[in-house]
Amino acid sequence: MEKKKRKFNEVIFIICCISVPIIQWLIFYVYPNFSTIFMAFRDSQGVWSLDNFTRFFKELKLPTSDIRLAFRNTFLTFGILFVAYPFKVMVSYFIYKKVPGSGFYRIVFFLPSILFAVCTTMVFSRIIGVNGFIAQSVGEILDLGYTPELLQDERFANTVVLLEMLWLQFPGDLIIWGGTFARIPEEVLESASLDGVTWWSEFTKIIVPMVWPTVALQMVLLFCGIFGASGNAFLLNNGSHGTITLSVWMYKQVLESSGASYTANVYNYLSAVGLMTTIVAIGISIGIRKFTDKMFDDVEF
Amino acid sequence: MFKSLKRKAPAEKLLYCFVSLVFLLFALSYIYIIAWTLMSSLKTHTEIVLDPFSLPKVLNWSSYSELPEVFYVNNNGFGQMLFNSVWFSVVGAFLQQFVTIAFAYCCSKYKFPGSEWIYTIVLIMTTLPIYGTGGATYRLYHELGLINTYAHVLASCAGFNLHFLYYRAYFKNLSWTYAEAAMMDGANHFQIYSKVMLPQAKPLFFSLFLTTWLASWNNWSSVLLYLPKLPTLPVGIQQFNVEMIYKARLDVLFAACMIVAIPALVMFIAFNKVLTTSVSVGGIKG
Amino acid sequence: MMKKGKKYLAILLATAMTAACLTGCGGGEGGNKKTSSNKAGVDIEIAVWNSGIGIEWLENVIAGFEKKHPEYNVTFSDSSNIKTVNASLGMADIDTTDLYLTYVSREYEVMEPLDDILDATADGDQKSLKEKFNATYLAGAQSEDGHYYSLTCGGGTLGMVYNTKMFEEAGITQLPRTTDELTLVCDTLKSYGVTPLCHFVQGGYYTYMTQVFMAQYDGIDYYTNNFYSCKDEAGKSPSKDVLTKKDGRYYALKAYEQFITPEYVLAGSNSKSHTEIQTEFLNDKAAMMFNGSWLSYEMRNLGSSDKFAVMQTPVLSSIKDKLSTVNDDKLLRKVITAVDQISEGKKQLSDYASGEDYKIGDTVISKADWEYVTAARNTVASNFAGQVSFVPTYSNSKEGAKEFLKYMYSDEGLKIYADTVQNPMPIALSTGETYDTSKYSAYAKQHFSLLEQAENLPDMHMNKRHAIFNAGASDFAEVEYIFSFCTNNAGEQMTAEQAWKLVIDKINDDYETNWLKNIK
Repeated sequence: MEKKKRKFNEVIFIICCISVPIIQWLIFYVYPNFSTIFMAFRDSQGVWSLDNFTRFFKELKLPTSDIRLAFRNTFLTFGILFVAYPFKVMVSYFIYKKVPGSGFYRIVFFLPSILFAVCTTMVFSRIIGVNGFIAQSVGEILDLGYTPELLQDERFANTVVLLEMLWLQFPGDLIIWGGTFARIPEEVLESASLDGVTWWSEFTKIIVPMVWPTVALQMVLLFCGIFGASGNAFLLNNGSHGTITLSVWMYKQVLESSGASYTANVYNYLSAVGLMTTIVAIGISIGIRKFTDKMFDDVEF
Repeated sequence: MFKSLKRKAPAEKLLYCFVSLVFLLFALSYIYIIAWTLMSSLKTHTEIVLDPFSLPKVLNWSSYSELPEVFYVNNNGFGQMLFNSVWFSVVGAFLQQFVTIAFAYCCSKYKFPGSEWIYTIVLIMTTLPIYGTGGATYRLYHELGLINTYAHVLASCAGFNLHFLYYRAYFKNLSWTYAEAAMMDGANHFQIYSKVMLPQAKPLFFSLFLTTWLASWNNWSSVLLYLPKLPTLPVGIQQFNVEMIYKARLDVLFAACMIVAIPALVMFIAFNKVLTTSVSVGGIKG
Repeated sequence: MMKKGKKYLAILLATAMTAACLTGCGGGEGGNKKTSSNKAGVDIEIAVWNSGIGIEWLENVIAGFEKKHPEYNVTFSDSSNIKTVNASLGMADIDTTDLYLTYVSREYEVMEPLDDILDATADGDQKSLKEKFNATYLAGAQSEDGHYYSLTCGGGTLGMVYNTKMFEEAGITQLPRTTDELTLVCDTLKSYGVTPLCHFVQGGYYTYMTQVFMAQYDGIDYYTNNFYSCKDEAGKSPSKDVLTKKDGRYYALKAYEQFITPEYVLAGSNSKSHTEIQTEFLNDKAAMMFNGSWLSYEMRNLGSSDKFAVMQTPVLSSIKDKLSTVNDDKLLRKVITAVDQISEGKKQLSDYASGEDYKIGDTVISKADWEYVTAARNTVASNFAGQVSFVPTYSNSKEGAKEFLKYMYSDEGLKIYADTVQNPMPIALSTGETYDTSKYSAYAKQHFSLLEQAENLPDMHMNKRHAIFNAGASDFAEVEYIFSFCTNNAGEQMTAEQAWKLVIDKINDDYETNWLKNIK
């Protein structure tokens, strides 16, 4: 009897814990994902068709299309993030190793993630505006004879968006890496330093192997999110002048047809583009897992 | 400050000083954003436009005192937007963490049909984003009547997310002996969870709550889409900036920026230590 | 100790925020949703776009209306974002709005015809509203089915606003009468070290200038009844040929290419926000900005706008193509001067008469040419249809909303509007007297007289325009081309010829595949 009651209590407890997230997941994750697939195959009249896909491939071939540019910039952004990744880890590492002023950096380096993007982009675009010394120096260094409007000029806009992203992301993921380095047992490093190990071999031979699982996981995540790679182009110049990325493009599609016109065909086309992108992303994801299979096995949550 | 350098080799010292110098440049540039915002909030509109980099000639506090009157967007006054921000960030973050931690606990400590599936699903979901669902999601929200309503916060009751993995890892490593002892004493499953297990996860819960809170406190993209009539402060500021066509009050704009930045700054300075040490992913290979 | 401190800090912060919210809520409600006391009566809910003319005028009109009609209870909600104002439009089940004062185009299926308001004579008026309205505006406001679904309740006249002080310093006494002369003026200003022009590229005010150029070149009839009705000479509509015809749009681009250049335009005009550029303009950073009658109200907290004046949009020099007896710009300018003197009352038309034709000095100008130039000169840029009033068909209080409109358009209501925003409306007072502008700013007075002398009011937002313009075919000579004329980046620069080619390419690409399909 007692046992039965216990079991009953357990079932109730489990239901309480899992029902809300599962219902939420079915409504807000499963349903829209399936309806995205259906929407991708509908035309503006709601009839089944492959129009959206033919349009997608047509636009992808067009050298001037937004979509093509968006893909190009997304890959570029991803490449830069990939190259920058080790440097971002180094930031946390040096703070962990207590470079002079690390206590100060530990706090200040959080600023880019604490300050809201709406504010930082607003300030940033004014700092690089024609009245500021940055734009003026660019004009002088390149001997242009005028001060360029960096965000409204194809020659500079995309570079500026990428630099802004690098600037703000320089400290990297302090929370994750701070936590990871903090877990390295101090004895290990102390004994190493007593053995007279140099900085470089300490880093490469002790630190990196120890945190490798985290690196591997982050790499997988980075690669799987490849099509989401984007700077703040939307807030900086609305994705104009060659700065649009895939995620900015997608966001703009939803935003511009929101409100009363939410049934517009724009959403169907967006779904088709999303579907194609997802298929490629699945491919990449499987590939990268095969590639890092060994690494991924080591990951433990 | 230079204590850490004492025992190092000269080359290493040089490296550390160089790194520190680079860090200093970045740190100063980040501080400059806040300083510039603060400075601009104390200038007049015309000064901000004509001399964006000069110090205020006279401190113009009217940007703050007139803010409640001038800063309003889509029928939302400053107080209303502050309420929206607090509602969606605090209630939203709490709901999400509350649901996720219970879900993760349940999945890590209990066996039930599909419990192993859930972990796999979350793992796939977090590593494989599905693109282009924005249109379908917008339609869904629209059909559920979750556009421009406080009930929109219900969408945050999510359990299938990255934080699930953090909590699950945490509970997996947590010994079950306490629970067994409590069970001996007659505690039921709810009591074990709330009295024994949950308290131990408090630091993790708190730091994940804080990061979630911060993300939604600063969030603009989904609010702009789904809640244009209930703007939170960041969206209010973004809209105010766009609608500045009809108002010449950049000073008020930057004053509002300061007001949004301060709570986040205070929380982070106060809880910096907890945040940087209580989360880890992937574990350590020892 | 530290830990405890943090806890207190967190609690303190949370309390402060909650407290702020609670007080804010109360304040927010009372402060922004202007609600009059909860008296019994029929409710009228207004949704209003808080544009450059603000909402103070509406508050004043409501006060006047409620005094006269205590049986009504008027409330309104506003936003500076048109999209937000219109977000629920058409959703009869959730939209409780009885009257919209916003920008919307061709949503006829949810709009109540306002013909009865036009035919009615308001209390205290001597004429019906229809008789009070400016005829050109009203012609454009009529939709194809003959009904009037929306009427102006904002917008204004536009012209080249200039800094009188800077013009004086550069010794410019003759305001530019043609676009060629405008380019010469820019040159003179430049040589005096003054930046001639500034603009906010995204704002698209040049679009309104283009409207004037189109109407000047092709004539207002063609503009309204052919181009914007998308109807060819044979009566076919929609007609692609109308859209691809090399008309005033092309010659407008040709003119812009002359004066919207990197040398003449203030640095930053392509990147700064509208308000920043206007602030710079008000602070003598550039001599001219194409802008509207609402400018002084919009920027009222930045002080007086006394040093600013507005000039009539210059005549497109290319209209010479259409004239047989006027074939150089100098002569065109002389004709314009004569036309101006006549409309200012300084001269009589008969002073220039020479038989059937006209004569300036020794040069004979044909009657047709004279009339063409006169019509072109008296074409004023406007966007009155850019903010309109309409009653949604599903309103629960249609009668109330219409009663309110009648009051709003009565002499009394119009005077309240004009006195609050000092902005003209294309509606005359029924008594025949002019608006008493004696207390208005000099800038406002100029706009009132600009409207008075206007014969033609081209307005791209008019109801008469064909549905194809709502199906995507709207951006012909806008932002991106203007940007391409004045960017410093040679890679993005374009000539008028290239811009026009893009326009035509776009039409060829989209006409059948998109626009025709999208027409509701």
